[in-house]
Amino acid sequence: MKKLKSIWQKWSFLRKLRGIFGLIILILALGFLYFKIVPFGSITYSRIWPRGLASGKGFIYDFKPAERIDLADSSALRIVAEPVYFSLYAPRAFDKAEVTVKYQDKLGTSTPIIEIGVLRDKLTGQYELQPIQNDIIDRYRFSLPRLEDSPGRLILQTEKYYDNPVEFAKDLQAGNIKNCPGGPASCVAAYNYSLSPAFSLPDYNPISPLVITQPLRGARQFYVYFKSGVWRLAFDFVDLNFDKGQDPITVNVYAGDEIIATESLPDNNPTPDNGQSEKKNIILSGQRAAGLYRVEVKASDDIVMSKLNSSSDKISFINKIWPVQGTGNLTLFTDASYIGVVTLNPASLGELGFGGKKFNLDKTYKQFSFSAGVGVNKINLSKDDLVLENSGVFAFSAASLINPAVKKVDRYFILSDNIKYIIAAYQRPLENNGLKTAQAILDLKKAVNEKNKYTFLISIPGLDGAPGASEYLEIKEISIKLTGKTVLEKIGEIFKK
Amino acid sequence: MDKKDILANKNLVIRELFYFFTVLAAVFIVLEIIWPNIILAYFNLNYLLIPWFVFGFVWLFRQPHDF
Repeated sequence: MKKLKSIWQKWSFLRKLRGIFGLIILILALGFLYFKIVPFGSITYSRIWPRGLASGKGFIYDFKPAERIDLADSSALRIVAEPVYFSLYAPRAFDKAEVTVKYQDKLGTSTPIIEIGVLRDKLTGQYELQPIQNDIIDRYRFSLPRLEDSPGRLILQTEKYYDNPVEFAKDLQAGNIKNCPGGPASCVAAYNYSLSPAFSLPDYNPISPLVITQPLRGARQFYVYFKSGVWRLAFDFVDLNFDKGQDPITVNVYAGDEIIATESLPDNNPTPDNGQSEKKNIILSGQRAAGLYRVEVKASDDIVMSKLNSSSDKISFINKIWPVQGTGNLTLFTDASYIGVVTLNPASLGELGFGGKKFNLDKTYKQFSFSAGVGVNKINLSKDDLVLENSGVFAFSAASLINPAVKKVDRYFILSDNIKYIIAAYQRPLENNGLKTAQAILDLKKAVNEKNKYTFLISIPGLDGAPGASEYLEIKEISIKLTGKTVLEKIGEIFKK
Repeated sequence: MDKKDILANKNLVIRELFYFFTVLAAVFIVLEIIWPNIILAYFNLNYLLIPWFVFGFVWLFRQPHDF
């Protein structure tokens, strides 16, 4: 210390000044490097409205599209239509994000659900969504007998069939719950809860292979039921080459969560000289026990599946279908009581039949919602190039409809006679002086991290920003706690290798 | 310390502050080039240019000149 003091005293004024300034620069640079490395593996980033004196770009930024946000009031982020996207700059990769949202809910009964998600697949635009608010669950939480209300699980029953959640879980596992002769799929509704009831068609015997010649655009998933023995799926694709990017195609076949067959086709010619479309095909086959399989077609909107040849005629498209380039007068069937319809093509506007009713599509890029009765509903399309979505499945014949999933507590959910139980992994937001606080945990290990940027989405199904609508969501604060490996853990991993 | 020394020291401090902000901006820009957003997420580098300009101009005009 004395030595340092004597050195300091020997230094000239200029040298002292430069020493101090150099030290400041070093501390600042090391400080920024510390926040870049995040050595202890955990850091929290926040965005508060109004922004105050903050001059930096921030870590939570780029809220878009602008037309879905009301920018007139800078004291809050006012979302008038959904979905709204934003980016999170993370200085390095993390494993988990705990998102806390503080908001004022000015939404109506037609928009009971708020969800937040992170981009999982850039090609298909798939997001992992977690609940922020579900008014339907919150309403039933206090009006129905609660069997369990823990942070991980909420179980409601329409009457007191069970007294013990363990007994219920055991019966659910066995697929034999009380007052539910059709099995869990017929009487349980779920929200954000993974439930895979056993599904089998013991008498199923396909008469002939199924050939779907109606072209379908973009990514999709479908259920297929194979009888025991050899199965086969042959896909014909057309790459439209409307966009200049690469359009790889991957087809995965799942038994439960396990991939049993996969095939990928890279796009070696993303920009053909004359912009012509290209034909491609994928064939998958195997030998498995009889059962239900899920097929995932991962592709961009530039890819059209022009033909599907299947050894099974039980095929149902999950949640979404986009028929294109057909001959018109297409008939589809769905097991849901509603459909969301949107078209990007002015030539596709016109009349649509759903559940015996006629509906009119009079605007492009607008999400229409049409409701019909409970059960299987018929969809008549005089023109195609329409994106049809719901929480159920779509098929080209009523006999092909198969859906092992339990009913989802979405914004159209009505507690009908056959629903006896509701299971949810959801915690209601805390409310204080009209300001609600909700939390969601998102898995970043499977999320898309593009140049240290994660893309998030805020979804409020039904919030369409229609002219004159007074519904909106006012966000006051978004705070994201990121956790991942510490520097020591990372070094340990390197040495283990 | 007489008036002349104080004035000389003042000039020296202003010059050194200008150098300080020059080096600081350079370090921040290099860090930003290597790891984009490392600085901009926290701080708008344009604000660093204000004191840099101020000290630069003050130092420039306090130089002895013969024109």
